[in-house]
Amino acid sequence: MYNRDRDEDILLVQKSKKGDKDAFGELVRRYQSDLYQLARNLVSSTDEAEDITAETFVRAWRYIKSFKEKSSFKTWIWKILVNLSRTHLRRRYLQNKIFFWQGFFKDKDDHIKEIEWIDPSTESDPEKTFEQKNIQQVVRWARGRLSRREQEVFTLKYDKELKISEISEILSLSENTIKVLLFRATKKMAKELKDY
Amino acid sequence: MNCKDYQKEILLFYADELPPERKTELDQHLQICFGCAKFSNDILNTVDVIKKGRLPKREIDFWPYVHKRITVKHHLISKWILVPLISMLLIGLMFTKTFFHIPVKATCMDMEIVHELGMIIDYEFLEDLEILENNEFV
Repeated sequence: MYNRDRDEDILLVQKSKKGDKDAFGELVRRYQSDLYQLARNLVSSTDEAEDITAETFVRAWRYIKSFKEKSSFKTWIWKILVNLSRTHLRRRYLQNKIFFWQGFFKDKDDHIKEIEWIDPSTESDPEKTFEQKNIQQVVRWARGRLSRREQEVFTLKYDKELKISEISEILSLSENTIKVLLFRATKKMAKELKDY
Repeated sequence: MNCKDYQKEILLFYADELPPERKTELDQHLQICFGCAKFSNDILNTVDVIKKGRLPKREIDFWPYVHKRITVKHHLISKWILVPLISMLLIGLMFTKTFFHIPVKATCMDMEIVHELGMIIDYEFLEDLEILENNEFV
């Protein structure tokens, strides 16, 4: 899935470390689409996903000098995004508990934006559009039944099609733990989606 | 290997993580085990629905916003300097007030009451003393 030239990334990272904003801009353009989609799957809100993705890049710029290049830039930046998503979800959970704030539930505008998130190739066929919306809603609901860790592993595996070794690096968990989480997540999803 | 182990291998297979050498044995097991064959079918359907339910890619250009954020210079004092500074000032203020605590000056009225109370206590003491003396206990 990821066919980036790692050597090019290394070059861009080294230029960015010297303060070259254009080089960093190139890195942003390379990874923004996938990062945004990952954020969108992790936090279930388009606005929040945009904020988190932007913040990920800002933080990457801020700490790029301390990036030791032991892992790839891709792994590093995805790790930042996953951590930011966790912080965000934790904050949302506390706000919900302490202030009884219903921000967890999407507001009307966000709901409309999600409905509009349709594959452009199906827009001309209303039946396909309806079916797609329906399946997306069902899959999103089923995902909501997973624990946070299961969701992360599931998203990285089935949406981003990463290898277990890559997921292990991003989430800082052993490969065995990833396999166990994947097994649990898939079984739960199979149970929820058996009627579709 | 039991069915639970084979089911884990089925998941790895659909996740493209199963080593090729394990595939033959797995196929043989699926031919004889109805439970695992059904499980395999369910997982295949699930993966199919999940792929259909994927959100399509949406292109947003984050660079203009990110560029603005990383370029803006902050002229205000950094929060990492301001917060400790204010905390130290507050602690210093509290410490000063506590250490150099000046007692409240008693009012004349208060002093009078204290004086009167003192006199009452002395009088009562002397009365008791007289009683004791009369009873020759002293």
